[in-house]
Amino acid sequence: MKRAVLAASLVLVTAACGGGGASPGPNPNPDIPTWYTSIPTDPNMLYQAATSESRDLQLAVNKATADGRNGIAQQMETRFQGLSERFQEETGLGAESELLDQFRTAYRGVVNQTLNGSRVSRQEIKQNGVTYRAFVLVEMPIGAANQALMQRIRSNQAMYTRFRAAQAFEDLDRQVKAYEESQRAGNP
Amino acid sequence: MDVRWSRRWLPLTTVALLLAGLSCVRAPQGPEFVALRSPEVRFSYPAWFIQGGGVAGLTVGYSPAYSTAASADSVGLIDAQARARLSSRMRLVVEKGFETIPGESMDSRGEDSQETPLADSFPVFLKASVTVGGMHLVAVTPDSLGPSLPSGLVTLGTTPPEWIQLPPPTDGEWWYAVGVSTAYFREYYGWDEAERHGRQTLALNAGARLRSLMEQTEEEQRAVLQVSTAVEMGSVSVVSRWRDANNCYVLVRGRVLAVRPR
Repeated sequence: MKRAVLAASLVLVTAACGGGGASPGPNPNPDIPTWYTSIPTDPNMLYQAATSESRDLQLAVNKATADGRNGIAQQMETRFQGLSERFQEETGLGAESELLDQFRTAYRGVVNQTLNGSRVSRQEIKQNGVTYRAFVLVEMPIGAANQALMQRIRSNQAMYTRFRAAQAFEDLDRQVKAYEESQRAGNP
Repeated sequence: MDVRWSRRWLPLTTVALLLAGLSCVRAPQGPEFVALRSPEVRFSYPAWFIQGGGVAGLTVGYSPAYSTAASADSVGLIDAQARARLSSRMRLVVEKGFETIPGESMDSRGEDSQETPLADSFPVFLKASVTVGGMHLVAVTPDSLGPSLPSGLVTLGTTPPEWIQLPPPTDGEWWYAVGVSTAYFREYYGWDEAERHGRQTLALNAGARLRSLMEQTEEEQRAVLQVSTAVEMGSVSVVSRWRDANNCYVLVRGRVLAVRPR
């Protein structure tokens, strides 16, 4: 029995040292967050996933977020142009001629859009040696949700304007000015 | 086999072999990138520095850790006063540009930002100060009888807090954003930069103008992207902080008062 335990231990050690860990994990792409490939859908939201890599984490996050916002802007309005150039050159004569035919296609996209209320709703940061890869999911409310958000900003602004106009603020202004005057009088 | 030998040594040998075997177990062919996780370094800070979000009007000022505490307090107090004024109400103008240069595996990036305080100066009161590592932290509030600060030390966990991966959504009144920065040798530079980045992100969340040009052929791609904003915000504060060996993270919140994307 004891010999059997010893033998089993040896077998385990051998198997452990020899095994390379080829067993596949449950996630086929553990590098990539699942939400990056399975983007949520919501009739009141626009979503865009984006990623960027840099040695500086802030730069990686900034670029990924900017790309995500740009993707949202593209969803709202994009002017894409398909461009093509063709260059043909024939050398030689008759059956001996050679035809050089270069066909070049290009796409150009221009975006000029303002986004209100876009934000990173999910982000994941992975490290590979000295570089960072940031995955972000940018979302933006559209329709009624966006209108409600903008209404809130406008009411905040109106509230502050009322505060500035209030008697208390005028009193504060007057007192500060009086204090400044006395300072100037005391310290010419 | 000798019975006495086997009684004494067989269990020990078995355990030793098992331990050796476990140490030989290799990790499966892992992902190229690994999840963010702090190494064994553990960082401790005053609770009011890490979890100051619950204290109304709390602002933290930074100073180098001078040998005389009074000097550090005085420099930190001036810094805190300037921050409190800025946080109260500010205009933030940001412009960031990115370019992917064709034919090269290279990105070019630049940014220009300006923070202008819109509130008048107001007095602040020193509530606490402490020297941590190479920096001196000063906690101030606009009211001398204001709320008491959370006491004690907080040792940061090695796993990032949830708000880094799932930044809280706006509730209409408060907007939230995560700021990150390299943890510089002068530690307060890292926290300062993370806070600034958080405020920028918050402003861009409120309103962002996107201008981009993308040209793609079969051979190469060129992309130029510019994002800019001009936002007025108020009551901006740090809600929570976390750091690992390499980076500092802050969760900031604020009220958006006006959005004027440029």
